[in-house]
Amino acid sequence: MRTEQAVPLSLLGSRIDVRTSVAAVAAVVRQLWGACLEEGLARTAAGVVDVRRRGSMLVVSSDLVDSGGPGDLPADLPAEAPDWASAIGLLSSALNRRAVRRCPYFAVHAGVVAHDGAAVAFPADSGVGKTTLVAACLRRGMGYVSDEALALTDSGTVVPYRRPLAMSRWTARTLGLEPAALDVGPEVMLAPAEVGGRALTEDQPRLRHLVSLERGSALPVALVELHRGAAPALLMRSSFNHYRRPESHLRLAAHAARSLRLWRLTYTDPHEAAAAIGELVGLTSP
Amino acid sequence: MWRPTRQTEPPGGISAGRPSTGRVVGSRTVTDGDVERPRSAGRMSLRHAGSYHRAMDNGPAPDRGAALVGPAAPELTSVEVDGRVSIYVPRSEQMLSLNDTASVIWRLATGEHSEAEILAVLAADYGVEAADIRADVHRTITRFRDEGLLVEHPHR
Repeated sequence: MRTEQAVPLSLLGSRIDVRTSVAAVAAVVRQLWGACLEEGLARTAAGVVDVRRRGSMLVVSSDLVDSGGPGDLPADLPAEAPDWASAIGLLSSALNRRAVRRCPYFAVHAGVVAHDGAAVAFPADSGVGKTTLVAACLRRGMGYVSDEALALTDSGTVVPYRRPLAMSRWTARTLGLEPAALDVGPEVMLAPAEVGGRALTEDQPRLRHLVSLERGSALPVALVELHRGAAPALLMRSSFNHYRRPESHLRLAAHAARSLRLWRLTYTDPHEAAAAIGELVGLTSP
Repeated sequence: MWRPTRQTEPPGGISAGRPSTGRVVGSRTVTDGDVERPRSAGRMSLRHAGSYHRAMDNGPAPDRGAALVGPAAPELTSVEVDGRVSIYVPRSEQMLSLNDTASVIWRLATGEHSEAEILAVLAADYGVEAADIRADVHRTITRFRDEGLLVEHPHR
């Protein structure tokens, strides 16, 4: 007899439950999303993402419809996976899409780390190397906030989104993380605790540094301070939900900009970049 | 070893970019915040008002018959941080980021001043000859117009 398990997750302000009768999936979800487990169960789940066995396949489905908004992607679920590792990959993508879509905060596509209550965010599109840089920062002892989203409340604090970090196996090896990595198809995934980093000293740190990334080949690491008047535009351009309330989100971006420093970081080696970011927040040694 | 440095930027200009996704659901000028100003009020900052009056006292008479610059298109949302203006343009979903001088011009583009008057203010404010910055000011105002950021105003 199979026992169905529900794992309640707190993702960018929404409770989303993962429900499955596959014990291996439930165990891995608890391990990888351990930093996102909903504390207490006072909130009703906004929805459920299901992982069920159908014949030899695992089917990932959800009652949270990913539609009705601008910039919709094609429907991602239901989808089939041949094994539980691939199902975890599908599940990760589905959870992220739904969390981001439902996020009630002004959310910017960015990697975010923190130290002593000061958050550093580096907005960037997918593929620029946010997760790698976040992981390198964690290896130097900074706290993990997110490798995906800078979520700002109306009061300007940063809401953590500590989902698992997904990266290439090569990146994991470079960062010395390969032994702990879970293979989920083209990438590997790691729980934040396995990557390292200190616990956040404040539940919701303040955004103190905004870093525009410029990664290239054979670039010496250089951190150049820019006029922070350009920060609202950078935040809005990298936001994935500004369109909901453009006036208040621009106002919030300006409010945040007035209490941060804006930088452009050019680099090739993520370890050197992480060292530079560490010095911004007063962390001078790993 | 990296060393942080402060960037110096060339004068004049606007940088533009489209937010990553999304659409616009209506907009208006942002009027709250400690350095934001209701642009529809048609006032210039004290600093620039002073420059304006000095320029007008010592320089050319108000530009009778000249086309006035602005005001800002009402659907725009703008904010200001440390003197720099950022503008959200709903119809194109673009964010515009103005540098220092473009921000000054933007604040003066209230529909009350001609291009020549704005030029005089900038020249006085930056302590330069009007002739030296005339082309830059004209280019910036033209860019504002081309981007549809300004309501075309009747002549004075």
